[in-house]
Amino acid sequence: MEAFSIFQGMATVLSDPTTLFFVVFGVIAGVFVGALPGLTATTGCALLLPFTFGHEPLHGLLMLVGVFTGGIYGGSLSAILLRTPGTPAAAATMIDGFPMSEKGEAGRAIGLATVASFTGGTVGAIVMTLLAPRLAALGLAFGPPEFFALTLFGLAMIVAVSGDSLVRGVMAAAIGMWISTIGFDPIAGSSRYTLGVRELLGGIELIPILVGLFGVAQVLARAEKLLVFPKGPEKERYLPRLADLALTRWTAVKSALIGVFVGSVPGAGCDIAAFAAYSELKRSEGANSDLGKGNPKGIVAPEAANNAATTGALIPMLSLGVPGDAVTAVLLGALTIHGFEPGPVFFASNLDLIYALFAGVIFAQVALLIVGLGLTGIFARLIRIDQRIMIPAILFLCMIGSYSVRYSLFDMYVALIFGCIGFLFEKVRIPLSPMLLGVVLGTLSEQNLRRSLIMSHGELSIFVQRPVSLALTVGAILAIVFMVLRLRRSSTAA
Amino acid sequence: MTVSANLKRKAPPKGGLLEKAVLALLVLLSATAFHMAGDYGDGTRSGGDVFPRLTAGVVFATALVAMFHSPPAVDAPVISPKSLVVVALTLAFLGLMPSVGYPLVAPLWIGATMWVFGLRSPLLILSIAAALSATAWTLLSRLAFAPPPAGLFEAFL
Repeated sequence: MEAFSIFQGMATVLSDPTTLFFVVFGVIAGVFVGALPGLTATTGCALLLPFTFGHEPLHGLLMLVGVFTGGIYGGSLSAILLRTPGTPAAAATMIDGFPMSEKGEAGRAIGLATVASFTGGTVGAIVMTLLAPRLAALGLAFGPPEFFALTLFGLAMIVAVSGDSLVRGVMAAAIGMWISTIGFDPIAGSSRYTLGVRELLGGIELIPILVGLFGVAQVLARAEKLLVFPKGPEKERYLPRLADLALTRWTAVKSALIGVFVGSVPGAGCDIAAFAAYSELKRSEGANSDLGKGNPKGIVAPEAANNAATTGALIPMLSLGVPGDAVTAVLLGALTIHGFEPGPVFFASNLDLIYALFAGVIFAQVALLIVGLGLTGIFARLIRIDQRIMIPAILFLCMIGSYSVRYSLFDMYVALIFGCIGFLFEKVRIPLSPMLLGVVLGTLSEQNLRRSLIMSHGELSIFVQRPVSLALTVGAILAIVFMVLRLRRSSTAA
Repeated sequence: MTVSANLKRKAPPKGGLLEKAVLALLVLLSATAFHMAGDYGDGTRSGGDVFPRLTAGVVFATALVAMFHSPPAVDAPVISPKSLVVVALTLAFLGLMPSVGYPLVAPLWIGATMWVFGLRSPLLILSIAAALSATAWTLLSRLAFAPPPAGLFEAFL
């Protein structure tokens, strides 16, 4: 039955040229954005989210999945060529990628990164296709207390891994959740914090917040320090050698499995997956290895892991409605914008869409391989475009993207305000990812908290009386405790 | 070590002040939000005030703790005038668009931003600013039928 659904999904995707176009376009846009230092896959998704309006949900979602997949891979291009990781997830790739580039083997390194990303993404997509339906079936038994505990768990995990200060992480998540309370009360219907502003009655739109926090804020940061890139070689072949592929095949598969596991833990994200795989490689290679000096395995491990993590992060997002990281928070927002309420019920009642989405994710990996091997030369030149032109153009895109949500100037002001907030918060070390997750999960969290309290007549004990919500609450507490211990250990070591 | 060197070391860095100012603002805003949330309740423990109070309370408490117990930033962050100019230009762009109109304000804004970022070729600035704003105008007016405000150019477009 499941195999039939997957084939049906594959047929839906492959038989529709428009769907294929959206995936390929998403991958190309993602690679470009990811390769530009300072712009992440989150920025790419935020910028392209407004352009999914007016299109079918599957097209819009697959374009964003393409951006996510391409964006994480794209980060490796600038890591290898410029010694500047395009995204945090590519920081581990830089360790061995740039030394290879210095040895005149940039093409070989990028070819390896492309194939490793494809392997990681494909392994991840297969695991996702097998695991997500089972997790969703489990989630169908969840009630409001379990969902509230689940959102709490997701937030606790992202707070635990997103920065070096627990207090600031919690603060950021709470600010995001507070922002989600602006507008109509989701249960009583009365207005809150609108201050008489008509545009605030429906709440603050997600897209201007996203564009502001991850687009405008980056532009303001670049205004302070523009990056200047070295000139690259005129011609280079970006294909891996067969001997390299044979040498690194098990590293790719093992790292992909690590990546999909780490990525599926809410909050962990692609950067942690990449470093986890690199650490495992370091351990297995032993002390005498030449890791860090241009070892091909040092490129394959993080690249396979970070692309596997992209699909891993989709597992809790699609099956339980809890995003794995900032990009999946954007994807969750996209689902909401297209009129869906993500979670197990959405999963069970939209199986055609879900399986087409799974098929699209697998196709995105194939598109990534083709784009990566065929167009890397163009991207290598594009990422060296004059930043004095590129950054103002991105600011303009941010503003137009915000305007296109409701064709309202108000949303452009919102994007600018959140841009300033994001810029200031980055300066004072308040992490933005928990804030975004707070905004996305706020309404869901409030609805389930209040429904639980209505069920229990105001008794908080309902969250510890049910086994799943108890386990998730304990998990959330443990995540925070582990972070405190880690911080203590690192401050003692310092 | 000389007295002046000691004084220099103990003077609060500018970035520290920025951090304190942001955190103080958060304390103030969250206290106001907490107070305002009182109007949204219905007297029960599951009313519309519960979640706003909970979140505002957490922001208030964590901002206070961060103000007094966090280690200072290693690199004292300050805001560069360039970033402020970009914000001011964008505010001017948004403020002038309804009255003057997108067709004039948008290319001027894009051009001015490129100038601030250091581009000095008038031809390049002019061509990119015109191309970008014209493309966006065409897409928004022809595909979405919702062009940005035309202001003075309303009669011509």
